[in-house]
Amino acid sequence: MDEKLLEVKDINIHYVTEDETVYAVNGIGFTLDEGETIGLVGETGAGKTTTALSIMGLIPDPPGKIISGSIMFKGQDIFKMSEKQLRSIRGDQISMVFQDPMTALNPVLTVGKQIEEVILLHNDIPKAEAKKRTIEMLEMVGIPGKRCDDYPHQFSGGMKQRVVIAIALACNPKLLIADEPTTALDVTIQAQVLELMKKLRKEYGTAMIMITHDLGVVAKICDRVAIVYAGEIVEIGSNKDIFVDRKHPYTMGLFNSLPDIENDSKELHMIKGLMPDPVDLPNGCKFNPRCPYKTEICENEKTPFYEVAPGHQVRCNKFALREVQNA
Amino acid sequence: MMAEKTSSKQQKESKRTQNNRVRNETWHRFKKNKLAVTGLIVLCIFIFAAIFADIIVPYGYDDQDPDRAMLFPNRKFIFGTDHLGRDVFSRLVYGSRYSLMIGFFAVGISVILGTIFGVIAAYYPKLDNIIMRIMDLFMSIPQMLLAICIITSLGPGLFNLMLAVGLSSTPQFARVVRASVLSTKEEEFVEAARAIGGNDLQIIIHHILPNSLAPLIVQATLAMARSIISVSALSFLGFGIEPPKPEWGAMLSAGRSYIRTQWYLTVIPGLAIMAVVYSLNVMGDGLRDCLDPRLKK
Amino acid sequence: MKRILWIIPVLLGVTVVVFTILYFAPGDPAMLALGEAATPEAIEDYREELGINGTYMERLSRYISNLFKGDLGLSYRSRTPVATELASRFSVTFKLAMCSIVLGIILGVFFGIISALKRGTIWDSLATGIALFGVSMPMFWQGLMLILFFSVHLRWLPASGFGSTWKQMVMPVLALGIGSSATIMRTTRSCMLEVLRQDYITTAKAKGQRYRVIVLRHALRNAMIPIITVIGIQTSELLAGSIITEVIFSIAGVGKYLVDSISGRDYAAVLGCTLLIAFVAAIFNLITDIIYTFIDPRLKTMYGTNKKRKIKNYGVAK
Repeated sequence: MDEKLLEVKDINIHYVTEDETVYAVNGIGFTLDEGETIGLVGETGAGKTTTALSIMGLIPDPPGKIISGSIMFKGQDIFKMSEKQLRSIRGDQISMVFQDPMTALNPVLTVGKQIEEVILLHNDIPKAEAKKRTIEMLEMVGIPGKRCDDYPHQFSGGMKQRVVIAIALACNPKLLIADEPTTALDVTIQAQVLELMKKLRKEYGTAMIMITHDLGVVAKICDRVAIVYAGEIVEIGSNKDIFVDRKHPYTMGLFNSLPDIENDSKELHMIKGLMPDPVDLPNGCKFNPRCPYKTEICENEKTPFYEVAPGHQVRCNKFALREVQNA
Repeated sequence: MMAEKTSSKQQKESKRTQNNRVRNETWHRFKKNKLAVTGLIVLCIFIFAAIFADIIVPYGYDDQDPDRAMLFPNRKFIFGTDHLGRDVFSRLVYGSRYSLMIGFFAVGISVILGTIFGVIAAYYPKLDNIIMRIMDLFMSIPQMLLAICIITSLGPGLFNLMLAVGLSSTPQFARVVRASVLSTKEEEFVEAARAIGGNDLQIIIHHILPNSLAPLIVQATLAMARSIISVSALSFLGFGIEPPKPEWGAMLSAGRSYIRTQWYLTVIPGLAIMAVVYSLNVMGDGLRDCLDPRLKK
Repeated sequence: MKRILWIIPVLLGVTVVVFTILYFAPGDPAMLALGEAATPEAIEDYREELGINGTYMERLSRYISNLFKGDLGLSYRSRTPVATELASRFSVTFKLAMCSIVLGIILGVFFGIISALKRGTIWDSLATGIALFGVSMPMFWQGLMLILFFSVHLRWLPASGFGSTWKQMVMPVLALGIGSSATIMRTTRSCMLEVLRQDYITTAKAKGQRYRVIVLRHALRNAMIPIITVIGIQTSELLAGSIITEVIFSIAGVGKYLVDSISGRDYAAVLGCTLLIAFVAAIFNLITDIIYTFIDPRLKTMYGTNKKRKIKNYGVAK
């Protein structure tokens, strides 16, 4: 029995306020094996962060409401767990690295204390040993151990992010969720942090969900890729599938809009229109208002997944002739 | 030159429509805060009472009649009578004139002086240091204490009271205005205005001040609440208005001797003060919440 | 260290300001004391005795130099040194102020935290509503109402005096403390709410930390920074408020002395009282600033740990 580490099954999450309802996540589902890395790629507002938070059980309620679906982590449903169970998982089995390192650390505590905190929460060991492990973690992310008594404001942005990674990996979690970990950093630092994550992943065998809108990052680090649009996954497949053999019109648009070094083009290609406001989503296929290939079915009926190759699925009616397979 | 003129005019126009939109939005948001609206209504009631006092009250504020002294609230005298036989209700209504007027003018003094100092400090960095140091100096003396000193020096009286309370609140306004002007000064339309030859004073009046209004209004509302308390406190201590003028604080002070028996003499003016101050505080809070730039879409 | 030295020019400046303001006070104590028939020499002698002869600059410099010696001049009324009069009264006022601010902090911070945590619920609305009332109530009225209720109506507590029995202390401390606690509560609540929105709180949750620990260790320690500032301001306001409270409760402290002096046109005493209160307020501000540097690590590293840094640099250079 090959039990998946993580199975996200058709989750729907809305944010309900008295003025309006935001349909953040509409039927997202994917699986993850141990040690595997999947990239969630999409624009801002596509529902990636909400998905990530829901895996950790951190959706704020109110106003977030989990409408349906389940998230099975090691065979247990996250949505059905008690707060106590969730707390024992967070930081220990599933960790998260957040987007903005400048605000992710508590300014009044030393970085050492912040790393120690997560270690001591999940391990019943004496403080001295926790401190030792903290220094090990710092060294592992490339920060001199003796800086454990320094405060966050004494570090640069890139180093702060390394501290955040150290905190996330301190208890050797099975799953690491990284929410745009390099977006807020300089390009050169980005490369360093990514290399670090690759190295740590190799050493610890951690599975990763890498949320990003940067295709370069995806190419470097992800085994599989899921393209997210308006709260849905529109295409999912291996790294190669997406980069070499992409099918969905949105995915193609994404890649087309990358500036091409080799060809001498005068204009940047754009996808016409904007991603729909999550408050007011179109009927049928969510991409249909912008799609050059749309048909009547696309406008009216919800589009299911179609498998175009083993492990490569596309949510687009162009491929309806192939085998129908629901996500 | 022409292009710059039109573009700065365009900027000013768009800023004006922007300001109008903001004003409507702000009002809309303010209305949502029921508590603040209640405060506004209560305040209006008091203002109404102050203006039309002569028509509303059944008796003059100084109609003394020893025969009907110390009566508890009854049908003829809604809030009772004091030790000289004067109707408490009438005195209360007239008293609203004093409290509101003094509060308003005191804050007015603070705002005008504070704005002048704040703008000068923000605009001319050489003077900034001196002015702010002096302001800090004044601010290190507790406000009430400063007011007491000033009024000791000036002597009792209506105008002196206004002056004392107004002057003691000036430094904090100077600080608020200075901060606001400093940030507005850097915006582009100010540079544009200067490019077309506007002198400093023009720029300040037409461009900078209107944009600094928001925090100023909030501060002014809250300062008025504090001023009314200060005024009544000073009167209570005997430094303010001379009898027989019916200022609420003074009424409290007079009623204090009879607290064991005629308790209403102390309770009722105090309630009046509290009502006005509460309304102003609630309005100020409401204004602060709806003018908060972070909440702007 | 620099901060501590800074207070001296501040105190000097305050002295000059207050002195100048009171300089223009009406009434000549010599004339008042000696009467209309007195000779100019007698008046001049009297003034010299009180130290109020000479030009503005002469008087000011004399006053300041005396100040350094601890001499605040003679009271116009009693002809006794102002300093002694103040000394006996100061301990009373100080005790009153201290108890009140402690009450204010305890109540304010406690209810502020609870209100922030229970935001939007009925407890929050209730607490904020009560706090607004507390802020809007004039302090003297609070005092009077307390007297009305506890002294007149219930006959539980005495309406005057302070210091000998704890019963006497209850009402004045309450009257002073409730106002401050209301302001502190509102500030605590808004600071806590602000902090709880921050990213590092989410990080703490993502570590699996318990909510209570998050609130106390992560949130509160960050929120305290601006709260301490407000507490400092409240302490100054409190000192001024004690003036009124002492009058209402007939407490023999600095405040009542001040008021009596004003009525008696005893400007030397007024000056002395005012300076005393202002000085203490300024000292409290300084203390607040110092505390500030200790709890905010960003300031701590600026001012404090230079020694450590040097050692670290040597270590790295190797």
